[in-house]
Formats: sequence, structure tokens, C-alpha cells
Amino acid sequence: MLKKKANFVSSTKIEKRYTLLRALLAVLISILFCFILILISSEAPLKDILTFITAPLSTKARFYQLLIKMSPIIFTSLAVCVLFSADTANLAVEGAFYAGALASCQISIMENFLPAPFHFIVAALCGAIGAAIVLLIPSFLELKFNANIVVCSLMLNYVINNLGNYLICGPWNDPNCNREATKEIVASAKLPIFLSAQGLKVHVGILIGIALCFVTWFIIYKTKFGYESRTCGKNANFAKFSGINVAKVVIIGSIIAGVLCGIGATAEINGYYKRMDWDKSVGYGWDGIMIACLAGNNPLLVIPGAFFLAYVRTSADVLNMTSNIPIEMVNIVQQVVIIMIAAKNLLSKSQQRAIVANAKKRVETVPEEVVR
Amino acid sequence: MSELISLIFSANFLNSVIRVSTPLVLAAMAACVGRQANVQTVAYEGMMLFAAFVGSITSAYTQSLLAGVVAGCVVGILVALFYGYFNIYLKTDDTLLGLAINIFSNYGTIFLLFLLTGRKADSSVLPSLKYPMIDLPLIKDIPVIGTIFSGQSLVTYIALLSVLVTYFILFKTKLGLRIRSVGHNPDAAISLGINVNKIKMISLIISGALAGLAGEFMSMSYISFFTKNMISGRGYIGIAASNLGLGHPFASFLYALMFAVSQVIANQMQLLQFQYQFADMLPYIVTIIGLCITGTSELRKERNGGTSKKSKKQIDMPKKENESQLTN
Repeated sequence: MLKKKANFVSSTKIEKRYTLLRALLAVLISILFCFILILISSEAPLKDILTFITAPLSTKARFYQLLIKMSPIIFTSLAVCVLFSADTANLAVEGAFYAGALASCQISIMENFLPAPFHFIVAALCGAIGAAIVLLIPSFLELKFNANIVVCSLMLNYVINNLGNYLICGPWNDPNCNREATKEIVASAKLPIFLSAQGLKVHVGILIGIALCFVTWFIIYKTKFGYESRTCGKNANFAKFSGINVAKVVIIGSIIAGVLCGIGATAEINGYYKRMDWDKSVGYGWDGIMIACLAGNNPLLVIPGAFFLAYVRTSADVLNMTSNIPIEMVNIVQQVVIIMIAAKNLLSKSQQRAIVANAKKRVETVPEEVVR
Repeated sequence: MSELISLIFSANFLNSVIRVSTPLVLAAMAACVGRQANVQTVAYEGMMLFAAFVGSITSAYTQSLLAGVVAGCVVGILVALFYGYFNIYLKTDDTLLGLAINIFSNYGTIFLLFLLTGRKADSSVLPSLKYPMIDLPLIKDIPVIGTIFSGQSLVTYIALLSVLVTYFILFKTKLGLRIRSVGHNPDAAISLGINVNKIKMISLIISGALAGLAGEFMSMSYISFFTKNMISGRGYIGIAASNLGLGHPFASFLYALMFAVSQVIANQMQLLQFQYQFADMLPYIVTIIGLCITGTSELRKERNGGTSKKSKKQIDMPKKENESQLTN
């Protein structure tokens, strides 16, 4: 009897299996979509498709480029995971990441401020505060004034974008630099480099990011806050009536997400750039939304998700240089992935069939169990 | 500052308000229809952008304004139907899907633009057509009103008409009654034999056409070619206007005008050497404040036991009620 029981699969398990299947299908479709876009726009499609598949692994420098690209995506994805696990539709991560970079850069350019590791830590702290404030605004407005959080946070992104443009082009601009950028980031605020080849330097931001994946996983799945947050995400009314303070969960979630964004932005600027020269926000927030969807809000799955996106992006970069395929291809494909994954009823018929077949098998064997 | 005030109190100012309000009004009407049918999408931005692109490009290649207009509207409708298929039949999350469509259209138009023209910024190399400017026969001779209303683009008049048409459709036709019943109480609608999904799709078609016109205004009237990301949040502002107006066309129209006023003031501030970044922020900040005001009033209605419907967020219940529920 025990042996037979082991054969049973619960329907939640089947659902989980199908969620994974959907994610894989989405990735597959997105790659196919890439090929189609290449076929449309390329003059030598076969060669380009081959480049697309193999480029990031072909040389050491390209692989390092991939790692560099991965780092900021991990941070924003984690922030979105935290927000989405409580079902807060706060889309200000894009603005928050930019605000984090803005808030930290004035600390990072101060000379003789603090010795090496502490300078970065203080800068990251500032970035975290800046990003957290931005993420708190829409959450607060929704809780206090019941404002539509989706539109609010999208509008906030535009506001932050303009503010940043003003600061970088205006008061914080370094007149000695021939483009719109702040003064140079001082050496003590820089992140150490652990891999380098052909002028490509991989900073430790990606290691911090991977470490934070585990921390965020712990927060979401192993702490009281995480449990409350996931309960809110599944059913806000149930959470309310079981005594969970929904407002508190949303606020704490926004702060944690903000801190992640701020650290990520500071790590990106202080690790990779010489000066803070983002005169508009750079889109890592949207990447975060895609990866969080792909990973099903599980911080540990963010790592392969971010790797996938960085891989595609590096390929597109190479293609952009070697052929006439526009780099926008990646952003297009990203949205296809989001749509495919968010489509809950995709494969639903097959899933339903699997669940029914499983249940039937179970029903057939139940009488035997009862008899015994 | 005094210059700004003198600019605001002039007939030319109101003329620009009417002109600038065009895409906002059309987007607000699209959002009104969607809101009444409880289709909570943010994809209007994407519909507008694709329509702006296709409308302008088609008019350039066919040298026919009508073809451009029709193509733009059709593309708006197609994007809306895509949204509808994924949202209604494949149960995709509204926010994610809408956002994905918006970003997709943002980069998709750049991709296509590059393939067609070899440029990524704008389509100014193509000889695309513009909507004609129309002088209203009698009105143009009336002193102030003539300056305000006459000499606008054809789409602007369509936009003003669309408010009446939307009102008529929603409140005076059988279809409108069905749309509203589907939005208000889908279960009751089903029990009356209404095909909820079909009605939602129909309302999306109407929204798509309106959003398509709004997009065409940007690339075929506001400026005469397509530039990347040219909608820049106007779709979202339209949604905010329809939220403020609680889905009623006339009220939403007034709020859209309010946003247009803030946008024109922002434009004027730029002319007066004001930091343009801050001027650009103004419409977005006004939108956020507006959302807070409607949110609060809706909340108050709910607390007073009104029948204001709220689909998703019923979190903000009065505390006492919550406690008594728990103790029971």
C-alpha cells in the first residue's frame, strides 16, 4: 500500500510541473522569436543565428561581458520578486534603480571621505535610502489615498527620469568632462575587480548579487515577514482576516526592494563606470520584472533567469556590431517571454487532462485501499 | 512669472489646450469604454504607439491619408484584440500583459523603423502625410471663440465628437447597456444570456480604434513624422483621466482637459527659460495627485456604504469592522 501511495502525484505538484513547463516553453518560443527577427532583418541569417547561439561562450572577454551584464539584472529582479510576492503591483523599480544610482553618486565622488570598503558601504546605504523612498511613494499613496498603484508608479518613473536628467545635466555635471556626467568616482568607493580580460573587468557586484539571492530567498521563504507577504500575495482578504497587518507588509516589502535596488545601482555605477553618466533611466527595472516572472518570484531561480537574459543580450550586442540587426531585438523578445509566462491558461487544457488522469488513477485505486 | 500668467489668460493658450488635449481625450475615451466593461488595461500606450507608427508609415508609402488613418486604427484594434485574447482567454495578468505590450511596442516600432528607414530615432526621411487643418466656417469669425476652436486639426474635432459618441454608445444603446452590465456585474450579465467575453472583446475593439486615432494625432498632426517613444505616457494620463471621471465620458473629458492645461503650462514654462525637466514633470505630478484625490473619494463612498464597485482592492476596510469580524 505504501508503495502504491508513492506513485500518487498531488495535483499541486502537477501544476508546479506545468509552471516549469510554461517557463521552458516561453524561453523556447522567445529563442525562436529571436531567430525569426534575425531572419527578417539579416542579410546572412544562418551565420547570424550561429553567432547568436555561440557568441557569449566563444571568447573569454565575451563571457566576462555576460557576467557584467548579469549583475544589475540580478538586483532589480530580486527587488521585483519581493514586491510581487506580496502582489504589490509597484512598477517603480525602474525609477528606484535610477534613484539609487543618483543618491549614491554624490557620496562616491567625495575625495578622502572614508577608507576603501566603508566608502562603498556608505554610498550603497545612501543609494538604498534613495531607492527605498522612491518605492515607498506609490505604496504609501495606495495605502493612504487608495490611488491606482500601477499608473502612480509609472508616472513616478517619468518624474524620476526628469529629475535625474536635470541633476546629471545641471548641478552635478562636471564641466571638465565632454559629455553629460558627474565627476569621476574616487578609487576608495570603487568595487574590487575579480576577473579581467582584454580590458573587460568583472567587478564583485555579481557576487554580492548572488549572495543577496540567497538572503532574499531566506527572507521570502523562511521568515515571518516572508510568510505574511506570500499570504497577502495569495489572498489579501484572507491575510487581513487572519490578523496580518497588510499595510505593514507592503511597506516593509517596499523598503527591502528599495534597499536591493539601491545596492545594485551603486554596485553597477561604482563597479563598472568611471563616472555616473546615466542622463535617463536605463531599463534594468523592466528586466527585473521579466526575470521575476520567469523565476516565479523565487529568488534562487533569478540566477539562471538573469544568466539567460544576459546571454541573449551579449549575443545581441555582438550581432549589433557584426551585422545590421538592431539591438532592440532583445527588448522585444523579453516582452514575448513575459506574455508567455503570465498567460495562465497556456497549456491549461493539457494540464487539466493530466490532473484528471491522475485523479482517475487515484479513484480507481481507492477502493483497494479501503478494502485493505 | 507675470509673463507666464499673461500667456495663460489668452485665447491662444486655450487654443493650444484644445490641441494638446486631443490624444489625452481620445485615450481617456478609450479608457472609459474599457473601464465600463471592467477591462483594466494599461495597454493603451502600446496601441497608440503602434497606431502612430503604422499610420504615419502607411500614409508615406501609399500617399493616401485615408489609408494611413484606416491602417492606424486597424493596428490599434489588432493590439487591443491581442490584449483581449491573452487577457480574457489565456487569463494573463492585466498589469504584466499591458506593460509587456507597451514595452514591446516601444522597441518593436524602433526595430521596424530601423528596417524600413535605417534610422532609429524618427521617420522624418519618409514623406508622410498630415491631417488637414480645418477652419470652421461660421465660428472662425467670432472673436475669442474663433481663435480657440477654429483652425484645429481634423483629429481634434474627431476627438471632441468622440466624447459625445462614447457617451451615446455607453448610455444610449443596447451595446452600451451590455458593456456596463458586464463591467458592473458579470455574473448577472451571464444569467441574462450575455456573452461576457464577446462584449469585452467588442469594447476592446472600440477602445483600440479610439486609441489608434489618439496615436495618429501624435505622428500625423502634432508633428508630421514618427519619433521613437513619442506617446511618452499620454496613454497612462488618459487612464488617469478616466479614473478621475469614474468612467463617465463627460467628466473624463474635463479631467483630460485639466491634464492638457498642465501640459501646455509646462510647454510655456520651457519657452520662458524654465528648467525644462521640471516643466516636463508637471503633467505626471498632476496625474499622481489626481489619482490620490479619486482614490480617497472612492474610499469615502465605500465607507459610507455607497455602491461604488471595487474589483480587487478591498484591503482598506475600516479597522473596527475588521476587529469585530475577528472577535466574532
